[in-house]
Amino acid sequence: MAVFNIQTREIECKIVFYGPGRGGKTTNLEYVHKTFRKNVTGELVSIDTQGDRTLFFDFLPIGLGKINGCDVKVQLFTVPGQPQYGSTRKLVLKGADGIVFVADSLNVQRKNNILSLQDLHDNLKDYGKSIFKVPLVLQYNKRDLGDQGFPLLEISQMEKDLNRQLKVPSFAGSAINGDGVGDTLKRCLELTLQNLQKELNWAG
Amino acid sequence: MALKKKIYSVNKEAALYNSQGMYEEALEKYRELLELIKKYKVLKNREDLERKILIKIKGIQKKLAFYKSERPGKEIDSSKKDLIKKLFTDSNEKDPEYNDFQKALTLAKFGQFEDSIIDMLPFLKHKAFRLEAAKNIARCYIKLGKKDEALKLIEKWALDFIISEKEKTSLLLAFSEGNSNIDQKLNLDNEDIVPEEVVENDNLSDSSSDDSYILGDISESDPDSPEIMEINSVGIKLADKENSGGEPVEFDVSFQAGNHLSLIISSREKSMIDSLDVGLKLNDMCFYSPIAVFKSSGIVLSKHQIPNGPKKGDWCLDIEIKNPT
Repeated sequence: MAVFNIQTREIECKIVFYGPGRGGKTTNLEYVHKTFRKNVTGELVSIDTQGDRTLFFDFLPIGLGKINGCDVKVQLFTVPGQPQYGSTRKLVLKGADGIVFVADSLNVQRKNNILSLQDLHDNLKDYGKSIFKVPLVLQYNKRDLGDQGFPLLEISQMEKDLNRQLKVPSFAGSAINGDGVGDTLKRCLELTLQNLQKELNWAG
Repeated sequence: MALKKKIYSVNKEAALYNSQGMYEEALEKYRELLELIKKYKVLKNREDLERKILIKIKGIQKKLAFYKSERPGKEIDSSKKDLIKKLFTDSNEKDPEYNDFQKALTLAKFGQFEDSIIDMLPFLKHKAFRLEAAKNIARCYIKLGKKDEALKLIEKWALDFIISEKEKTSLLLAFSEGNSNIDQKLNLDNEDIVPEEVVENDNLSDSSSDDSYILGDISESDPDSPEIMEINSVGIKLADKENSGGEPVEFDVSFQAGNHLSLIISSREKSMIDSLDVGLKLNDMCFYSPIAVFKSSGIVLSKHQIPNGPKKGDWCLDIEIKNPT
């Protein structure tokens, strides 16, 4: 949950990258860390990994500078995607002000995308939040693999599977090349800050 | 020639999934590849290829077993532990002792049981925290597979008047029943998963919004009368493999009422239409909804050709879903 320090006019909020295992959540954060150096305020920390699987979470602090007279700081997290790390995933999700759902475009990941979105829905519900009301953006990652001849889900199919009811902003992406990473994060930040402005009434 | 092309394509996919750490998928593809190779009789080095694929399969099976057995309970370095404590502890600026206690609990939540025990020990002497500290320490020992030590400690705490006889009995009872649901037995489950805000009957049930209708479907189902969620499409695998080549054929759902679905099948799929007779039991069906995928069986209720409109000539098939699992 966002922290608003009235005295220092500082807001700290939390964005969580959610999605199926091996879908590219960490790769998104790595790209942000590498590319948006001006905004990055600390190191990308991975706690902990096994091979290149996230076991606990990745963490990257960024700063957005002054917005409406407030210094806005953002903590970016990824969750472990593998089904067996459900309790860690839920802990990391706690207090999220905005969520980026990174779906995997590979055909074989269709079921895992759907199950992961359902898992997000269930976990948010347990925290008393609605998936329909939390600032949420979808990213359809690994689109570059289509050019290499790998079987990908059509964007329209992914929209139908994941976004038919949610109707949230969605972006095609290739986190490994950085495509769509900035747009996805930017939109999620916009939605999150709009929501926080309403909740914390800080704009005035 | 087509088989050769298929072999290349499956091999490429298998290698991709393997490189991306998607081992289940890689395994499935390598097994498919093995079957294809077996069919490719004219291949000169077939036996050699089969052997190589089998080695790949064994390697992937090993990796899978490793990843499935491993749990995030391993020790991590102290700077990362400090970060975990900082990021995931609900702190109360006015009460440093409460904050330290919460930090120790946070470590346990992230599987850092030994450190949690060390940080928790001083709280055994603290009147306000002693029982919760005792519970957490005992729980950590149990999670570390040291049940006997946990039981000995509980006895010792009672002798040292850290916990009362009554508290000792309830702790021993919780542990003696085995390790399952130990958090619940110790009332520690709320430590891990505390709802941030309780939604009271609730802002989600605003009947004027689309959300509430959808949420009603997916989150408020009555267990006594299970509702079927909204289905986008259906995969049908026919026993008669000629029609589907053994693969499920997917159809969009045009209308749904409870567990009755209407599918539109193009008139071009004549053999499929012919094989889907009224009353036919479909034992291997897959249902895709925006929030879940589930397998079930179904029965063909009716079949008719659409007489008018843009879908004229196509077929409408009504299916009843049976026993969703």
